[in-house]
Amino acid sequence: MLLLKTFFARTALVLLCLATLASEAALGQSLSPMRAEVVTFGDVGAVRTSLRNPYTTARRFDIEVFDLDWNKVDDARLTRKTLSLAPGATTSILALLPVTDENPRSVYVCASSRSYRPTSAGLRGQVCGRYQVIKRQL
Amino acid sequence: MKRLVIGVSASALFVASAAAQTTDDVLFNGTVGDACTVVADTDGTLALNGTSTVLGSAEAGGAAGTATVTTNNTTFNVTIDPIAAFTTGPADADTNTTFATQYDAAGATTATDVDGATPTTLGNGVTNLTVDAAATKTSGTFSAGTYQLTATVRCSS
Repeated sequence: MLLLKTFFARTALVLLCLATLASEAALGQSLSPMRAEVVTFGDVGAVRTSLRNPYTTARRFDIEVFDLDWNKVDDARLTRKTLSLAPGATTSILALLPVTDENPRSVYVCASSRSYRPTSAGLRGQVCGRYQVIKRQL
Repeated sequence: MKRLVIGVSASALFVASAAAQTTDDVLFNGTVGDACTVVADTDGTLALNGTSTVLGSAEAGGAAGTATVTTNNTTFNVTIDPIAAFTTGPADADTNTTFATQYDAAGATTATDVDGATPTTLGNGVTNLTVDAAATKTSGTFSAGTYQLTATVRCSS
């Protein structure tokens, strides 16, 4: 009986977690989260964010990292700088940021959509989430 | 004996009734994160002015681009990323050429003739943006050829 109760309690917990994830994934946002703090005890902080294609057609996305003055951050490493996404699809992006003298280090991770057939004055949508890497000492 | 049975039955009914009325709350928690979605709806079209010195979407024959920005709070800004050069064009396309953008906002945000580099705080909801772009020759005129520039609508926190 006790085993059965434990099983149902665990199943309910898993279902609750899945429901929470599903409700967040259903939001039509391009980057999620848009703000986050990452604590690292090493020399590199890892920022993970989800990119969603809100368009009704497949799009190509460029991922870039900027500092708060909108200068490109050259020492950031991205798992993917350019990618294609099906309509409504979501993918994960990982940005690795070395910790510098600036602590905490704040950056924008931006995703820009690119049309496959631009005209003479093409428009691109860009969404930039703001993330902070904080180095802590052990 | 009969009274005792009736009394016990009544007590049992009362207890059963009290048990049936016991309620407890089941809580459902959820979190909605900050969200900003930018969808570039339509590209614009550049047209040349009468003196061949301005190639812009606001010129006769040109068309502005449109974009939709959707937010779920009021902590986001919109700007147009400065244009540094044509994406495609003749060899002298960028020579003595300056670029400018301008936008109007309607819907959740209201703004008119805002310089592209100037941030506007977005209202909560759907904002419809109309974006104009122009390239101006500070010296000389635009050569014949196909030109293309790209304006980036940026939503940031």
